[in-house]
Amino acid sequence: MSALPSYLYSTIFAQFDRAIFAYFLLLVAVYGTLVAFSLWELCLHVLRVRGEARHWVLGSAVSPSISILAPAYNEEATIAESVTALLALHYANLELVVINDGSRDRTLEVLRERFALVPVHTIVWRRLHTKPVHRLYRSTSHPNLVVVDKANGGKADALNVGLNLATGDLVCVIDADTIVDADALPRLARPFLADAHTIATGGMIRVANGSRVSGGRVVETAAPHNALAGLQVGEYLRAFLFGRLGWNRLGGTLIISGAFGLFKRESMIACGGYTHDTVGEDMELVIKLRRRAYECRERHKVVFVPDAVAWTEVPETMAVLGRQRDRWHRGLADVLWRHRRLIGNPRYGAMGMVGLPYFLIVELLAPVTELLGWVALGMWLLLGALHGEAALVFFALAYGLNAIHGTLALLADELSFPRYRRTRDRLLVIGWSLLETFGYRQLTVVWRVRGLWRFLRGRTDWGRMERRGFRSPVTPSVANVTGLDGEALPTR
Amino acid sequence: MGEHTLLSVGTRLLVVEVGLAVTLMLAVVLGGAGTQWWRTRRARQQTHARDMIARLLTSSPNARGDLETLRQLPFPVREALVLEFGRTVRGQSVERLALVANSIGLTARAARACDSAFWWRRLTGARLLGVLDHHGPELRTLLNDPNPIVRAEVLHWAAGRADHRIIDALVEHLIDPARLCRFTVRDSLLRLGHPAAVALENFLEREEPSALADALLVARGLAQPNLLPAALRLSRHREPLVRARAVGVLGALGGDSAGVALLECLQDDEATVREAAARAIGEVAHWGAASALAERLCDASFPVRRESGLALRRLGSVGLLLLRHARSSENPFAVDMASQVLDLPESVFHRMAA
Repeated sequence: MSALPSYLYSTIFAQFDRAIFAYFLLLVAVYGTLVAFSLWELCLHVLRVRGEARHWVLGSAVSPSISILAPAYNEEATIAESVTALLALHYANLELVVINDGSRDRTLEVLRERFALVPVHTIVWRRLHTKPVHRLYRSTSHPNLVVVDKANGGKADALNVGLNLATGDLVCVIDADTIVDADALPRLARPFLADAHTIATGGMIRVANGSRVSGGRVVETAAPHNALAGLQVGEYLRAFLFGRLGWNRLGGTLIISGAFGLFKRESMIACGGYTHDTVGEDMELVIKLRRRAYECRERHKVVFVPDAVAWTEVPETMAVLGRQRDRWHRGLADVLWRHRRLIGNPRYGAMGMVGLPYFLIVELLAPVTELLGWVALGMWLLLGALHGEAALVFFALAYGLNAIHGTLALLADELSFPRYRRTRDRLLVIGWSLLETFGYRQLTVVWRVRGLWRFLRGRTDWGRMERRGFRSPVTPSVANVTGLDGEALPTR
Repeated sequence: MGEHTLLSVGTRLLVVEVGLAVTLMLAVVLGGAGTQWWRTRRARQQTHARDMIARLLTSSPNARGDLETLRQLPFPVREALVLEFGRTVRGQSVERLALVANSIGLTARAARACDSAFWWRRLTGARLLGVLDHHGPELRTLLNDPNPIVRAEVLHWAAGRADHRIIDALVEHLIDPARLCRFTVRDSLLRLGHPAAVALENFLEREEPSALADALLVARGLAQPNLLPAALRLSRHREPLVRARAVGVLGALGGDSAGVALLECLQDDEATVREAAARAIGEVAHWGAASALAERLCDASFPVRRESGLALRRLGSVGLLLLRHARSSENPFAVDMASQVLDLPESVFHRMAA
């Protein structure tokens, strides 16, 4: 009898160890492949755009027209500055549609006063079903500005209203509080000019905390001094440079950030626009677009553009960050569940065979596996079933790889489209990147597992998101309870 | 493999990892600082050199001292400066800039780059020679470069040359397999204006629908009378896209024959063609089509109804009368569209109809 538990223990330990080790090797292989493809793409991209002139594209009579959709909910503190900055973007054939999603503050009044809005009656083809539109306004000072006042229905509904109203060939989705580089639009539009099959492009989202913002533009970049914001800088760089760019070579990314993306309008409408009842509406849209293209046997491309930059303010408190990560992971789980039939389905090409399985195995389940690993480690150590030194080496190896991954992203950024001018900022970012492994990473694992748990229990709310705002050090902007909080990065 | 061996391998890997991580970190800090230093130095050199080039462009380009200083600068600095000036100056200044570039060895180097096996070098060469308005054969050769980015760069350069051989070559690129090149060539032909119309007229004799559709977009922008026969013929083409685009050209050209053809197209089976025809009738203000437009207010397609309504309003009093009449029609589509068009404020109407 005494031999049985011992045999069982050793079998369980051995199998569990192997499973964890195999998963670890899979992650290393996947990330290695993504890094290799990303670096290759980045090199080609730098060679392509170096010395490029964009002014002729801007002034061309055949350039596609762009409608910017900017949903706003309770943004009275920042809306005027944001809209002014969007109107000043470098693109000739531009229309700006601001959708006031039933704000309870003075958002609409601020817009009316600042941009001399007058109510208009216009012809709208309601191709997407939405909550009622109360009124449409046009600016007498800026002819290309349209403001829609509608009943509150959440971000997806607001964007669908914008889609019904937009007249551009391409539609750019921007959160009202996202700061976009002045020349980001022509950069983002470049893949549409280069390939007729491009249906969506996404830009790079960078952390604005710590940088100086003036007139709706980031005028001086600096690394955040707040620890939580600083820890997210490396995370964002990794997620965008390696997590998205590499997919340009692997069949196209599945996520275009809701904070800054450009889409073919007709494709968006054809796939039914944004889905209302999900918290991962940006990823859901891209999958819907691609799914429809596969089903209609249309060639299509979704491209990430590393030099088209938008800036976002990331959470600086644990509570807000926790809610954000929880929601991102719930969104990911929800989207994968909705499109579960596509996973591993060869009919959906690279998306079904590579992209979605990756998101399921690597992105969705990684925190669960990591958490299980810690729990097992604790148990094994307690039971004395583990060689302490070996365990230490294994974990050091795993975290070392993480550090290399992060530093490589910083280096790639530094050598391609660098933003930090001072050595002090670079050192600070490296420091944050190294510290990420100790505590922060574990916290994100817990938040993500909590998100998954809440998804399984059917929770679908967005949670409350507080922003400090770019202009004032005190809290001027509080958004939101229904989903207009402008997050950028749904996974990792 | 024993536990000890695994541990030993793991430890060695860890050492390698730490080494790699430290190297990368140093590369970020030193590389970043180095790049920053290089950029600052380059910016300083550029500021100084910019003044010299500006002097050379306004006075004699034989100012030896300045040229000698420019020649000493690193190639990327010289390249960036010439590109910067080349994109902003016109006329005689371009000729002077070409002389300066030639004197500092940039033209020869760019010409050599055009022969390179690497596309990015050819691209650099094409960009430089393009802004210098180079007359040598290098750029013409690159019109058929295998890389679409290089081809597009040269096609952009070709927009500034009213040479019929280049225009013919340019028009041929309307069927370029790369969209970037097709986009660039459309833009270049529109910039060329009248000289491109003859070559385009010949091109419109072709059969490929996709090529015709692109060419008709250019034809609409050029709006030259010699394109009218081709547009009339293509308004009966078998492909709806070609018909719709040909109708657009007719709308830009106008005239009696165009009016008759537009009226025919308003009855087309394809909604896109009817939509284009309604819009074109509004553009040419073809009064004779007013009642046909009023009928289209009942069309099953929303865009056709919208364009018909807007076109009626553009026709003036006749159209407005028909729109008011349509408000009491039995067809709810017509009533709705007529009301919406009549309710449009003047400023919004002009924007929508534009």
